[in-house]
Amino acid sequence: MTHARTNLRNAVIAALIGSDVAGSRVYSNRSNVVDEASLPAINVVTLPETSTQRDLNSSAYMRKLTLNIELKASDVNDVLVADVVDNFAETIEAAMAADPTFAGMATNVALTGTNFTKEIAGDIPIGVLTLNYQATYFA
Amino acid sequence: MGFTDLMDSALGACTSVLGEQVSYTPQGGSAVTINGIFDNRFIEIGKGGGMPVMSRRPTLGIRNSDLLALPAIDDQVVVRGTTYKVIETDDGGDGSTLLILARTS
Repeated sequence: MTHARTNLRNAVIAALIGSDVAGSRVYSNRSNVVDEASLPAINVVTLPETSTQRDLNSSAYMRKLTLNIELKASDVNDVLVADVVDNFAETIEAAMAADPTFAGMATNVALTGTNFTKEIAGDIPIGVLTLNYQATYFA
Repeated sequence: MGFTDLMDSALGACTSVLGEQVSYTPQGGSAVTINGIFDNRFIEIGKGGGMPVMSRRPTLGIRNSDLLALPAIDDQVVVRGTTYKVIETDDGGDGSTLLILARTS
């Protein structure tokens, strides 16, 4: 039986693939390298989760999962790379907001923050935009 | 012949034997063809967390005396058909400069 967290993560990945920001280059908890030429790419990372027992007579928990969507995209223009990732972020946020329950898998999936950094060690600047979501679900 | 001249001569030999012809255009100036030692090695960036990216780190080693003025940021270089801009200059103190490059397209 697949854990509800896995199902939810896979549903998020499917939604992001459907948004067509990065084609099929949407990964789950990826730590291997991606080639710069294949950007943009998205990594869906599930981080710590808090759990509260639903009630004393239940084995189910209300869980609050931190889910980060890390987008990496490049542009030869050092200034415009921020605009590039912002445009992608708009599409990602729309895809995530289209169904905040992900077909009933969660009671809500909400954006809680955004962080932008830039990596300039390579031959072109790479923008890194991380969208922080909190998913509340019962399992 | 002083030490500076000896170094310049040695650098000229190095860039002509180990280097290749590149087109160098200073900001507001005209293109000149010089010899430079190009390196375009792979690097892994963003290892600190998440998904690292495999990129490249292009550099060009040149002899300063091949140019009319010292290289500067935003000068342009064409190497192997690719246009780069200079994003950093590292003066070797011996008459050479290592140029850190970024692609422009």
